[in-house]
Amino acid sequence: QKPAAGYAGNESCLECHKKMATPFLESGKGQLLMGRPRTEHEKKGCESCHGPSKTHANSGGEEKGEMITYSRKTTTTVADRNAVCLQCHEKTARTLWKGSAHEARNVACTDCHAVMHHESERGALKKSTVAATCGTCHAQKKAAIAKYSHMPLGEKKMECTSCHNPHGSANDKLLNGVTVAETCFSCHQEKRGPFLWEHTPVIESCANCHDSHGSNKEKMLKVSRPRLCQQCHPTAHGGSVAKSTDQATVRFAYNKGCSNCHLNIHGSNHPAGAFFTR
Amino acid sequence: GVVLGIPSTGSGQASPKSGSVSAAAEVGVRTFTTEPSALDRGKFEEYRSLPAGMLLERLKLIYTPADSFGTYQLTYRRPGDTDQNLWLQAKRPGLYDFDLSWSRFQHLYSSDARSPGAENVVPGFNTLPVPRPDSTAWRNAPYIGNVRSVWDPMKMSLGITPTSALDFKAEYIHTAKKGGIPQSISFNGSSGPQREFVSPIDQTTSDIRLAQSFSAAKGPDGILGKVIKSYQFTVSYDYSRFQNAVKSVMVDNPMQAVSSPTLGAASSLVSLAPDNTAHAATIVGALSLPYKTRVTGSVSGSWQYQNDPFFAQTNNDSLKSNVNYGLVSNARASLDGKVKQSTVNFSATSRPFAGLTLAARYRNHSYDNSTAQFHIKALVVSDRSFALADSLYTEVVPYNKINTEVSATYELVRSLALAIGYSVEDWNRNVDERNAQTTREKTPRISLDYNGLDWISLHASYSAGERRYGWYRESGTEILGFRRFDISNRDRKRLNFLATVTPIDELTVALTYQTGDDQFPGAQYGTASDKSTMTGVDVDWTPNKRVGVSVGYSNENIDNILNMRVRTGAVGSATYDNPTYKWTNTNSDKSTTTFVSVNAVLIPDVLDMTASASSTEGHFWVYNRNAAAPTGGTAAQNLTATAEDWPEVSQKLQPMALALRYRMDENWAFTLRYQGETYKQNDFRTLAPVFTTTTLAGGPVATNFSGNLPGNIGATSGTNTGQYHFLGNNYNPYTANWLTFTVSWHPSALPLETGRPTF
Repeated sequence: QKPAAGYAGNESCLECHKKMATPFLESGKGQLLMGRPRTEHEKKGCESCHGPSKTHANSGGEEKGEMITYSRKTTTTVADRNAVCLQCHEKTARTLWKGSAHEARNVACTDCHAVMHHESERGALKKSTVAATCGTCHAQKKAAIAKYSHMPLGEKKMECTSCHNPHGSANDKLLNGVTVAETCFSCHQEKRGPFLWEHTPVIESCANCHDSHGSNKEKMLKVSRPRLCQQCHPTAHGGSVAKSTDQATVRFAYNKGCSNCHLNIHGSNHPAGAFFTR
Repeated sequence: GVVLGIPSTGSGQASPKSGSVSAAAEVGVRTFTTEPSALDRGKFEEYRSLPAGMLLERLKLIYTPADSFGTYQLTYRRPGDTDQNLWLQAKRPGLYDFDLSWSRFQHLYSSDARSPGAENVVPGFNTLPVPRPDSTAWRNAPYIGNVRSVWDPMKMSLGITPTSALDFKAEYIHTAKKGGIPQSISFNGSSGPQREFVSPIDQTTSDIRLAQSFSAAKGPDGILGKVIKSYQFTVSYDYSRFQNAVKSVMVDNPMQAVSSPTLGAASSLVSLAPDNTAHAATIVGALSLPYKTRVTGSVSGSWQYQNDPFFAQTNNDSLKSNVNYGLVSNARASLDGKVKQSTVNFSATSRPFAGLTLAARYRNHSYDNSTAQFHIKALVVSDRSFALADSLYTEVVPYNKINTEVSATYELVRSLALAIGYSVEDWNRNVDERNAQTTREKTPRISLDYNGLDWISLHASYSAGERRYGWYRESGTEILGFRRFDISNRDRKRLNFLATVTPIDELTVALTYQTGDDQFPGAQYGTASDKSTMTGVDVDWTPNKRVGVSVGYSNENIDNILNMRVRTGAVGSATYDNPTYKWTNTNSDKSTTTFVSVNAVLIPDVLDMTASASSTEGHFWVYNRNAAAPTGGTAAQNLTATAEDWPEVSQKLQPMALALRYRMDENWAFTLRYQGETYKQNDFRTLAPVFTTTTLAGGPVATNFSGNLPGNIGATSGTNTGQYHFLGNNYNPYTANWLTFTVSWHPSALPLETGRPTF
């Protein structure tokens, strides 16, 4: 089929870019666009993403013409580049991309994804894992997941996307769940309740006590027990100083601190569990 | 039929008529030159499994259909290991995408726990011998092996794309968790006896998620089509069911073999998580309008239910003689718990002309617990005493949270964008249960982005939030001037700076600087300040196509300050609200991470190398200080109020890896990998305790308790006088060095992996 006006056609592109295109042709996107396009747009093949490239081809690659390019030095704006991707990918998880924190920060789809040759096993990412990709900008979070107490992101048992939708969300912090707690409950359903005895900060946000990205404290706690609990319960047990060398108060500091007794701190369904001790 | 073939490259080889199957595998052996002992493997194998011996690292099967269209592959890593995973993908682009993944892993809590009892041998019963073990028996208790939970998450999803405008996705996630976790119980109030035990885990969760999306590339016919350029919507439904096979655990009292009406029960029952279910439905819609305007909205509702039968308040039958025992019966048989949440979200973003972006957002989230209150006439405390509490009801804590935000971004000059925004967060809570019914946080923010030159991009942002409560109701039992950190007045400042510099094509340097500063004005007691600073630099250098080097460094400091006061003596006495009994606690955190990695093709298509090393170091200090020496009470009371710093707690992990892969030909490759790790930890809270009691004036040591976890702290001899019984689990320091040699068949399908988790 003869290319439309301004378009060069796939064969022209492959004349010069065959080596670069080889891994792309094996990918799902390559198979679809180059092998079995469903729509007129998809039938444009390379140019469904790169736009009309006849000028570029005719000039032997010297001129860009109307082409849309994605390299680091491209003069195509981020908005124009993203618009190409969104032609096909604006539904499902990306419906809320526009207006999202990343879109507002002028993040390009190709800042994270590599269409022609990707490094990741899934997701066509520029780096080998989601965490490595997100860590490009979120250095503090990348460092946090290496802290003493962390969730198994480094061990590749979960990803940043287990909790966040980087493509846009109706929720705070691009969370998948409507609240922090709902997000955590997607793996920790045992803490979902509702319980007979609820602990208010658990309901309002797990992040009141935990730093989910990592911490130097056990259980990813923000501060050590009993200080963590004393932030809200200053007079419990006399507002104890909890010395590390004093037998009378050591129980508040050693091992699990307050949780040595208040073990069901996320909520208890035991009628005698008003203080989360049963 | 399918032809089993061995392709020359290891990837699929299409047969003109029937398709073909190709395979790749990596097998080998792991051996330690320095191996952590079984007791020291807690942190080493926290989320992984690293046994010595033969291993099947990876097995990959690829089916290539006759038309070479689609992806069909199975990857299986470490079959038979505790840490194993499987991934099956069957994808026909534009038609369907089936994905099945299963990833088993362990969360190892302890490898050096000790107990004289049967810990989780029969799930739900943690028994001790009769007569109860004495101090000597506790201190010489046998090791009980690993305390861990094994997670088995299996996720299956099917996406169908009948047309380019429609997407349907169904997911089923089944997660099983089995094992145990250290927990702790007190049998007689806060003074003990207390016992740490292995609580059973046998939980199953089943989640079903269904979603249908539609995307219209142009608006509807008619007049609406002139306004609506395109539209999308998604309707989804989620169902989740949690089941716990072990609903309670009966824990033997280390001090009582016979239940007592004054000293507590011989065994106490602890409730574990009850079964629960949850439903959620969501509708998300989006319209693209003229002037590059996008309007999105979503409405979601979710419902959570829990109705497991209640346990009796106590199993201590000896309490039957108490006159209040008749008051402890449950008001009803189960909770019939019902929670409803609803969320409405609207946002709009528009670019009316080049260079200007306007955005607005509104979000309203409500949490409503409609569970009928549960009335307690008499509460059994620690299976030992009664608290007559006619007014004690369960607390229902609904809330409503509304977020409103507007922002504008304008390109001042080409590639220099200024953004200003203003957001408001309103909370409305149940004032019967919380000190403040309403809080409002107003946060203006400003940011600058510059990417006008291809060798540098800059981002700087600053926000200054101000949260104020409407009215703070001080509880009669709390110290005057105390404020809870999550609802008290707060001034929050955030500064972020990110620069990416690419002086030459081969070199990228990313610089990060972040500060946070929370101050809590008006909080005489409670959290006063929370500050953090983070500095980071990442360098990527690719001198040529064969070599890549990454180096990174980050440093983070956090200081959290809390004002407290010791209360002792009778209400109204000089020591109950004694100003000199005030003490200030500062939690200081310092974290440093350094890493370097190198990937190199030493001989093209023959010899590859990957190397990495990192160091993660964490310290925290708990400083406790009085402004002046406490006075006004007895010597004992003054000593109680005298603050004391805690010993420093620190951790340091240093892993390194070096791997060389030699490709003999297209079909065979050999990989030799050396890995080493050292881990150091110093945490007085879980190490064998060394502490003293002193005379009341802080004079000479009266008793020196030292070491010998597990537990029975307080007992200095073989007598059964101790109160605190710990399992003694601690993440021990370790040094590990190991070699892994593998043979890869069809290595092109099995990329050389790097990083700590591999192997």
